[in-house]
Amino acid sequence: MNKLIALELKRNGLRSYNLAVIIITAVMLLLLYLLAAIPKIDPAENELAMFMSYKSLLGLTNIICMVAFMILSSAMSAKFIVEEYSGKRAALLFSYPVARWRILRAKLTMVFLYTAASMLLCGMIALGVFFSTESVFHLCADQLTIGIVCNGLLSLLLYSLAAGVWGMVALWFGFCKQSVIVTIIAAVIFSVILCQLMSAAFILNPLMSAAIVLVSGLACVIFVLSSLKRKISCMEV
Amino acid sequence: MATALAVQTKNLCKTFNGKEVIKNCNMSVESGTIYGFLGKNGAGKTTVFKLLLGLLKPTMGQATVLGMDSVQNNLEILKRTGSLIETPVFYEHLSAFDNLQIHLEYMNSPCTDIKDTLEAVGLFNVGTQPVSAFSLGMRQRLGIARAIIHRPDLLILDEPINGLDPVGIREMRGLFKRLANQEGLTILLSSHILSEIEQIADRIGILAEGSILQEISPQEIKEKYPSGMEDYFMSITNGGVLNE
Repeated sequence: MNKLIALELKRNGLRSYNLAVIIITAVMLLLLYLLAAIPKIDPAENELAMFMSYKSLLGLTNIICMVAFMILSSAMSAKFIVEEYSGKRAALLFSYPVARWRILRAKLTMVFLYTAASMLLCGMIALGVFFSTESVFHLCADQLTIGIVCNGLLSLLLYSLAAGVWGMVALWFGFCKQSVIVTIIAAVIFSVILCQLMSAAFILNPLMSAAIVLVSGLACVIFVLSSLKRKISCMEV
Repeated sequence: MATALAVQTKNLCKTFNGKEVIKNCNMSVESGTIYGFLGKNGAGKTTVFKLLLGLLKPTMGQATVLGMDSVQNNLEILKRTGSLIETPVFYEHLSAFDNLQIHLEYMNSPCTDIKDTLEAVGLFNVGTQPVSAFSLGMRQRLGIARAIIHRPDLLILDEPINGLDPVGIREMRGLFKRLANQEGLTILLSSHILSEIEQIADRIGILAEGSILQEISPQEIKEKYPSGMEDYFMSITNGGVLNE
């Protein structure tokens, strides 16, 4: 498995994805400061009060971050999986004496791990910088506690896993249609739907809403994996 | 004494969307020989090759490759086979060396001398040049290098001399003969160039409308058709009518 992942990395560079992760990190950091500063910029506006609590601030940025990484995951799986299994490149993959499912599993694992790990890293950098400056100079009116930091990190972990999982669900649509565009569009549609559901639910309990999104994604992934395994084993090129 | 068969098909059939492309195809390729596959465009040569490699599954019949069933033992067959099917596909941004190295790792084959193999197919001093910058002929040579680098027992080459200049064709002919005669490789190749098949093959199989019409040696053709290979091919595929 490790060898197959290493081979994937060798023949598909990650440079452009690394660059995308850096850009997303910078944007997330700016967004955190912007959202935290909004109530100070316009103190008269009562509706902006939600940005005065860390719970809302972190919940919102985590959701936006998840959307960005879901779309990144779909772009990556479109390139590494959908493109490789459509057209002549599939014949090359199938001519290796390695079980078809093992190669696909390595690709899926790589995309999932890259998405989840890079979002976690991106979030930790953004939150780390934000919390560091908050401990010196408060933008947010809320009191920063260890509990808030731990909750923020835990929900970041759940959202990171959810981004990888839902990226895989989006891939299924692209794989069935053998289309890069369908993969990315499916990810955008899923992210819009999940965003709406979570922004409604996270007001009540951000951690619970992240856990529900992750668990429902995992349930879909079980179907996606068995379906992909079936498709790949009877694929003819 | 019976000769071992490297490839044998029995009543092989393949249907696409209800259309029978390969019908009761029976062929036998002896080990250590070069078998030339001849047929018009669309006769089903590539389909037969894909069936042997397990890229397609037969609708009916059986294909035995290196003594193993093409469907049941597909991975073992792939490990011992080198192939070039249609236009070769590469990792375009990588060099020829890197492409072969990746191939060897997937084949789980010891890293043989890649440079020697590249030189054997006439690719000298390609260095770090990405494959995307290669000409059609260079890509074809690299495709052949990839097919032979893991020291397979069987080579399946679909139109291997496509895009090669006369010098390249001659070099590849020499290489294939050397691999078969000195290293005991079985080579199954197709070509549209009749003279090429005539010069290189120990046995020729004529495929028309999905069936092998005849398996014959070039010597037998010469004896029966002194006027040449072309007349033989026309008579067997068109019933003697020339497509003019």
